[in-house]
Amino acid sequence: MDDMRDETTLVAALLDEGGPSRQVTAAGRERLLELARTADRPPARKARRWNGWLRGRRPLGLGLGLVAAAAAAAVAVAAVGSGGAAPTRPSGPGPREMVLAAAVQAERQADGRYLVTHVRNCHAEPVKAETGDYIVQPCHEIWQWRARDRADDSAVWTRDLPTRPQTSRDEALWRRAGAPRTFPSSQDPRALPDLYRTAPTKWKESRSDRNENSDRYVLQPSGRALTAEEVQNLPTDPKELEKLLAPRPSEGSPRDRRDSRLPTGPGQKIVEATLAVSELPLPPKVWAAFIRMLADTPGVRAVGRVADPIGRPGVALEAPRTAPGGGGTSMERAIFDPNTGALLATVSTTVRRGADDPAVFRPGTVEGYTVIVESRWTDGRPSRPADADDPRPGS
Amino acid sequence: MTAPPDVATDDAAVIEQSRHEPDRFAVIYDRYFPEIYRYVAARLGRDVADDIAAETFCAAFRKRDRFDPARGAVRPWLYGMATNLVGRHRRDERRRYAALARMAPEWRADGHESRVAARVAAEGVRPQLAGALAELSEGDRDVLLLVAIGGLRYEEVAQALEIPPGTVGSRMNRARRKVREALGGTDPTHAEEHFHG
Repeated sequence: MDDMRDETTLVAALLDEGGPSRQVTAAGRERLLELARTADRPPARKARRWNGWLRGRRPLGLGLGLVAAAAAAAVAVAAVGSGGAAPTRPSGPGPREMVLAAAVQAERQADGRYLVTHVRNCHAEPVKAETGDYIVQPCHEIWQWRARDRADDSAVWTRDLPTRPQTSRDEALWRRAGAPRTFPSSQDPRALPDLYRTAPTKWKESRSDRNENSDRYVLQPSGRALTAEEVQNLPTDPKELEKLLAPRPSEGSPRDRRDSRLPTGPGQKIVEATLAVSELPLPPKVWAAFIRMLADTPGVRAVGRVADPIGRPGVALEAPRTAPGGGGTSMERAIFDPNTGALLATVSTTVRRGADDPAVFRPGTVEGYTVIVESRWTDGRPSRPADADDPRPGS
Repeated sequence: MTAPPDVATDDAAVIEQSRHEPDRFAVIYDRYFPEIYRYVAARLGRDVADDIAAETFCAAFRKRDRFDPARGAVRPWLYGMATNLVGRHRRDERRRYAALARMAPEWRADGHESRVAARVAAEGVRPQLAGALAELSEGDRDVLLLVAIGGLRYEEVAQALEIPPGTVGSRMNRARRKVREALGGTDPTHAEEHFHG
């Protein structure tokens, strides 16, 4: 270890300029707080996952053999549908791969390709009322584009949808409470008494995010950064794909994993894997491999034909996931397009409430969902969401 | 506006809270600004660091809803963000190493820390060391300095740079070898004895 230290010690000593002065520290803090003051109202994005991270371990023994018709159908359809534009490759390198890589390379020269994604995140927010607690569902949308192969060329737009009571039962309780038009944050109602509103907001560009893209596509939670070309050439073999998407084992030492208190159960794998690829338009064969990979996970089962939260028909896989420290259990469902295999949405539903969860989270409550409204490559340079009514971007 | 002295103090929980209570992010700032500043200043000098270290926290704030605890802790996440910003100032960084290689110790702008560096200079290795740093590839230098200045463990470097831990190890080996070669006849172990002595 001493041997390890010497060059680094010398380098550190050479470069060390000391810590910040008090003035610089104060100025930086003020700069941050100024930004915080002008920050957009907080996004509902990720709220579902946040609920999830706080939950705990309690694997449920669901049958393994139920990986059935729907997934198989999705896989089959996805495979059939793979004649599309996206280049794919057989497993293992070879002449074909090189030719295809060259084709992709040639395509890149044409330039002007962009990725457009449009995602909706909703979560269940408990509201306290003397006339009876109920649940409202704040939803936040992010529409963004980024140059496919170039850094510093992108834009992000966001909007809030109307926050509404979640079910008819919630709606009745909301009316009984006087049909309020604003709702407090359940996390900190005093500081944020009107965080969620029944009124929507217009699309607005997040100027601080302008041109913030890198030219890499990061697969969370493994953290692997891929080029657009590598995204198109992700493995079509489920095992290979799994290796790429899995959190790197060495990344979390056993202690780190414990400290981070990740949820457990096969549903956690659904959450992690879908998070990795949810905003990427993968070739159909890769989606097929992705579905097979999840379907092959012990504890994951197929649930047949379903509709996604915005009514699109899909096929689904699901599995339970449990929070650490006596937390609740939720059912994590991934819904796929039966024609392309593309991920349409992920939905998290309460199975068993955790000790700290609000009482209104009954079994069956939709705790949160993410809908991939759209994710596609496009040739034309995008400007703003189609239904943004302001003709001048960013103003 | 100060962060309320309440509830969760775990970094990731603070970030989570800051999504709905932006002010809470000041807790992260208070915890990590000094060391992030030190890291940036080591690479770009104090003048540039005044701006870049503060900008690191603004950038982190803007991206706070993308922080994912499954990918690692807050500290390496911040170092990664700082490293990205440093990467936009490669010219400043090269200039700094060139200056360090040329400068006589007493030319260094004051600095309560300059006496430490002066000891290194007294070993006569500063020009070689600065030259070696200037010649490292960006990736190798990022790894070396995250370890040397930030004190990050390999897996934290991996999280910060979003690269596999194995890559961290090989970059680190390469960087150390180049530094050692640049020191020429100087035995680093020997130098270190003097350095601490």
